[in-house]
Amino acid sequence: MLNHRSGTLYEDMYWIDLDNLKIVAEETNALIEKEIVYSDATKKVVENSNGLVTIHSHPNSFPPSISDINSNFTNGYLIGIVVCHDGRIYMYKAMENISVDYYNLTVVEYLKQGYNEDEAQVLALQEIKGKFSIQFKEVTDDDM
Amino acid sequence: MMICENDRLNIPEEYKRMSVSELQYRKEQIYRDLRQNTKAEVKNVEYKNETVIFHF
Repeated sequence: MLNHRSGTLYEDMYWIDLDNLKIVAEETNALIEKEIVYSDATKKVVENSNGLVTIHSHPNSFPPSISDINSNFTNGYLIGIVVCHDGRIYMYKAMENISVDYYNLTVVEYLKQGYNEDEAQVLALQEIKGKFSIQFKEVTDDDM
Repeated sequence: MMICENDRLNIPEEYKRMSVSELQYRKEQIYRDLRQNTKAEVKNVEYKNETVIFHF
């Protein structure tokens, strides 16, 4: 996935059925930068499946976006995984929809404290994790 | 409409112009509204797989 999109701003995404660990859908031909567009085939798989794990790439190497978090909840995914082009990996799980405004306000609050966009998003997610029903963490060597 | 994944940070310009106290006030309003006026929709997705365990 990272090799496929190395040097570009396009994302790849895979949906994995945890029952048989098989890839049941994929979007690897994105035409819009930094975004996944679900094909009709993918939408059908998502609508008719339980127990899906998603994994997608982030060319900006940002942590999971608020769209990622809310997609995880709305589509009923088990776990979401983001792999960043700088090597970081994040896992996330949302048990409720998170207000986009609340998220954005929180990010700006951290930006105004001097954090960069990446740091501000990580801190915002950690704060939201404490107040809302989401799980979020960076996968590190300790987790292996 | 299906919500889809992206790697974008789309902050409204209005928020960038707000002071920290204004940001905090707006956040508090949203949080109060969410917790008081509507019951947060919480989905419990139960899935039993003995071989795969996700630790948070």
